[in-house]
Amino acid sequence: MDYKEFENSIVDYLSENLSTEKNKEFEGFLKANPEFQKEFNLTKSFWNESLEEVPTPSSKMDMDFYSMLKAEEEKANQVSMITKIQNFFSLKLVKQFAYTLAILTIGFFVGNWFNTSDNLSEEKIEVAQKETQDVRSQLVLTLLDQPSANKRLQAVNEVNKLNKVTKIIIKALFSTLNKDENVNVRLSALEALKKYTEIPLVREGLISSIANQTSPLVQMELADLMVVLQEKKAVKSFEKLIDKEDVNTSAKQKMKESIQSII
Amino acid sequence: MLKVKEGEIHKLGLLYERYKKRLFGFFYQMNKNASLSEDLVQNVFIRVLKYKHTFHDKSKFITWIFQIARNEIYDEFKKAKKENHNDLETVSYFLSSDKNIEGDLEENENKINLKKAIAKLSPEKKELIVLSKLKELKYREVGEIVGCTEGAARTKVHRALNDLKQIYLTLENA
Repeated sequence: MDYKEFENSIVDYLSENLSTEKNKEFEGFLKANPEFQKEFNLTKSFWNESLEEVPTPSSKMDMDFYSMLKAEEEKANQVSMITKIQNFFSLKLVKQFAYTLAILTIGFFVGNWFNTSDNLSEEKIEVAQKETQDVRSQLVLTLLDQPSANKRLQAVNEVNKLNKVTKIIIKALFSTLNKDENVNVRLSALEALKKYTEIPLVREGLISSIANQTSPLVQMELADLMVVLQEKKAVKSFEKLIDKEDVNTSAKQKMKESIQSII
Repeated sequence: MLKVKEGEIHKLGLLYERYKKRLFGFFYQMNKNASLSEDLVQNVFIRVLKYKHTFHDKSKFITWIFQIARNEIYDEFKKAKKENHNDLETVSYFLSSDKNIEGDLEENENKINLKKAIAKLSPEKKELIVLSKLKELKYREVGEIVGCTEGAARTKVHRALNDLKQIYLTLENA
């Protein structure tokens, strides 16, 4: 190291910018050449005293800083809450769920609307149903007048499909029960009338029809029905039949048993 | 600092404790006003939070924070200039009648002259001396802070100290 290098290195040495190697070289040069010590000391004093002593910062600075930090933290927390909510809504799954929910809600209202329109047309349906019933009643009456026993059976079956029976239908059924030449048709008419025994007219009709019956099958069926109904008025009619000579003995026996059961 | 950047703002307290004295010292040397320096330290940390996203893990924190501090003090100079049109006159008035300087008559003349010399030194040069006196900062970091190469920073520091010497000598001979 020569003087020039030494001179140039003083500041670097003082500002600790020399490598360890250079540092040692510098110190060695200074020791070997004490005549440069004065110059070094002068620069050193400049270096060391070039800056004033710094007072200690007041506690106000700390207080200000920490209150600022606290405020910033609170602000950041608020912001992160908002971002959390945003993230929540931007999630794919949640989006899908929301859409599903929206569609469901729309579906619910649309369905509700259609429902109310259904209510509006309920009267129409009632009218339509009444019309169907009327047509069916007409069909029953027409079919009962048919010469074919098969058609007449079909007519009685149609009666079973009716929700409400009218007087006309009941009358038609009784006329079938009393006058039809086919036993099967009469039996099925009796089956149909069984459903309406709560109507007093039907009960009376049934009792009066006992006397008109010639077929033992129908007589026996009626006897069973009267037992079920516990119809005491029927006893007389049965007794009249029993007294008749041309009545089947099995039927007579059955009717006697029925009379016993009713009494 | 990286943790602060990631959102752990409370960690800024640690950085504050570590750097508050050095920053305060830097500001105080530059403006000789303790309460203003305290405000500037506060401003530096507000800026740290505001610009935390610009900090990269490769950069050295001390370099970064002193760059902020430097911007802060230059903004402050500008503000002071705007507010006070008689800036130069006031400064020279303050310099010649500085209470501290006058009150320190008992101090030896050399020291007074040195203080005067420093007060006369331009802020840019003063800043270089203050920064290079910080043990953590080598020429490379000083260069990074003031925006020049390591070599240029070295030259500038040398020049600043030489200027200081020159001013001092002029004062001494006067």
